[in-house]
Amino acid sequence: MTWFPLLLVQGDVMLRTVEVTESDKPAPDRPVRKQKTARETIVLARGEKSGHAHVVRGKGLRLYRDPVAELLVPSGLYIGTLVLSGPATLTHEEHAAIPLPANTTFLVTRQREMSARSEREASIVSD
Amino acid sequence: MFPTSRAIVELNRAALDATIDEWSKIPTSTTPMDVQASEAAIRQLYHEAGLPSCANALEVRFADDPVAMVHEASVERKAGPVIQNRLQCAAMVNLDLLIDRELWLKIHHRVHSRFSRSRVTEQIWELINTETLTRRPRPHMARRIPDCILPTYVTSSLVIPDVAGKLAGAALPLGTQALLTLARSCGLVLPRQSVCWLSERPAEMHFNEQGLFNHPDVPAVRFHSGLKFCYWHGARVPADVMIPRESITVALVKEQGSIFLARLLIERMGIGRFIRESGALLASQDRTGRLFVEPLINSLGDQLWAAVEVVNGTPEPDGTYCRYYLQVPPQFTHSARAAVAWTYGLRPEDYVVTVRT
Repeated sequence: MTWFPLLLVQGDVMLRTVEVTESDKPAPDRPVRKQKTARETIVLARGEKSGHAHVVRGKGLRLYRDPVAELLVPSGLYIGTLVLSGPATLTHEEHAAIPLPANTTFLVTRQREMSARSEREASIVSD
Repeated sequence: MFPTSRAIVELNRAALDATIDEWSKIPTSTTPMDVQASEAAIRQLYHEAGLPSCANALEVRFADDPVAMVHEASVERKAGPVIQNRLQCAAMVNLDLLIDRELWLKIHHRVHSRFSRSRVTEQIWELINTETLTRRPRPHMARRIPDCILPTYVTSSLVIPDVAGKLAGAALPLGTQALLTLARSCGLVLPRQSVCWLSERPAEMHFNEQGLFNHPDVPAVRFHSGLKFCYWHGARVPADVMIPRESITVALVKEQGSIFLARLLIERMGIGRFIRESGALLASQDRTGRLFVEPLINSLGDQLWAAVEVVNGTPEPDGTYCRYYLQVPPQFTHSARAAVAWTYGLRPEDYVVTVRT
């Protein structure tokens, strides 16, 4: 899997572009959760207190969980893999919108902070 | 005739989901126990298990909280053995008798995709185990506490029969119905042969986003009996650190004999305020943020505390930029970029932001 240097941050949510090569494509027996039908709106994360949400709007959006991609990020941070077949926009009530290019696959992750309980534990940031 | 899998489409899916949602709320319910319904259900369950269930043979006792219930049950000498396994077997239902397999699979999938299992029960168990550690059960209750308690806690194994029974329009076996009634109407149940204890639910519970007991200012769990426990993101904390936020001082933070309690007090007083009042060292500063470090507990060795200050990428309506603070592991004492990158699960060299808002 090759990482392109396109890294978008909207508050506590990060999108990184990811190129899917032939070798990365799921083998028939790889347990990738079935991709949902393409949608026009996807809520990536919602704030615990404010209820404000990071929302992607566009056409032909798909979000799915890839267990292999999940292994690439620390535990609990992975939201999903976002596939855009057309241009889209990432919006939030308190952050400026970010345009997302078409025909792109993003790894979507959250932000963490160290838990008061232990240096080895982290809690998810939720603004 | 059994309904087929197509029946699930024809039935009101909203009603199906409403049932699942109703079950999802039960573990966090603080509704007082329905004494009459609970007692009738437990007697029915004893009866279905082939155990004496009349008032002369079975005494049903009500406890104000599960800790009192376990304590009383563990010192009671004449109640006979713990029989939760026997009752559980009597409540098990063979769904093959109710619905066809295809429909069962659809229900199973729907319940598992929609029903969110609560972490309340496991936390109450942990609480009971901790509280009763010094009062080891007598030999007739030598098993672990969770093994003595009837699984009336809500899991998908309770939800699926209820949903399936409604869809099939068939009455569930009486033992199963009794178990479902208990789950709906009371807290934990500890059954012994001739005495069964039913405990109240908590009167008040507070959780964080992960479903762990948590409240920054008041006890996260409180029972009608007056028993109460303070929690911080799932960890039990002494009540004396839950003083009003404005009363917390840097000196109090540094007096703590535990790094956990010190961090907890910092979180409660506010990281920004702690940095200002402690005069924390600005260890690193770059485009990503500002890293502050402060020694916390000298008596236990060199315990460093670190936090990074990050500025929002988007201005507030008044044109100012909101700052927020994140605690980071203390090894990040050299680079703000490394600390901020860690918060996103990245190495510092990979944290090269294209757009940030």
